[in-house]
Amino acid sequence: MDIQLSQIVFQIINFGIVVGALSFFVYKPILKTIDERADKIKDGLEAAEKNIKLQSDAEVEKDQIISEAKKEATKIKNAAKSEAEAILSEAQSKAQKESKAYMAKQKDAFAAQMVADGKTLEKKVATLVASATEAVLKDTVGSIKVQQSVIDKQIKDLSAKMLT
Amino acid sequence: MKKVTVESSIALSDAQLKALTTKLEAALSDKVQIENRVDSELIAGIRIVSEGKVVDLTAASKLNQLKQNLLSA
Repeated sequence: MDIQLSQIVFQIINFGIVVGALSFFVYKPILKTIDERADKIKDGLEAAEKNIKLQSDAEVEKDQIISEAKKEATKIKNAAKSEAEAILSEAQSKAQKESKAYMAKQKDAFAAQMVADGKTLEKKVATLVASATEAVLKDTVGSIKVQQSVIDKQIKDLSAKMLT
Repeated sequence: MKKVTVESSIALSDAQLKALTTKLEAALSDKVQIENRVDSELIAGIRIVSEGKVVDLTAASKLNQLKQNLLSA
């Protein structure tokens, strides 16, 4: 078997052409596609990291807002509780004062009524006693004989001193 | 002569009028003419009215005095 130089050169040139054509039409587009894909992945990863960071920041901010809101709510709740206690205390104090004043007023009114009732009763008793005495007196001195006896005694006891 | 009004629950007898006249003349040092008025409301006793002066010895007066004392007590 003879090795022909021209054949080898032809094969080398042929191989070079095939390599050049493959390099130009296949390898370069594949590399380009791979690079583009790598860039897309890289951008995606960066965007994902950015989103994760934003989400993390948002979580922190959310927690901070919630914490502040809780603090504010606790503050408002405590203030409302204090205000409610103050209002309740004031209302109780006012009610106690009004109750005492009312009781004192009622006590005075009752005492005044007792005095008035006592006076009325005294007047009624006095009138009753006078009426009873008058009835007994009329019954006692009812007869003319007794009345004459009374007048006789009065004339007898009449002194000059009584008339001057 | 002085006019004296004597009010009584019953009419005074002549003896009573005479005794009263004697007493009044002695007390007033003057002659006395008695006018006897009967008022059953006086209950008992006599009331002598002479020249604006009143000597009230009636039971009604005493009773009224008692009533006033009771009411003012």
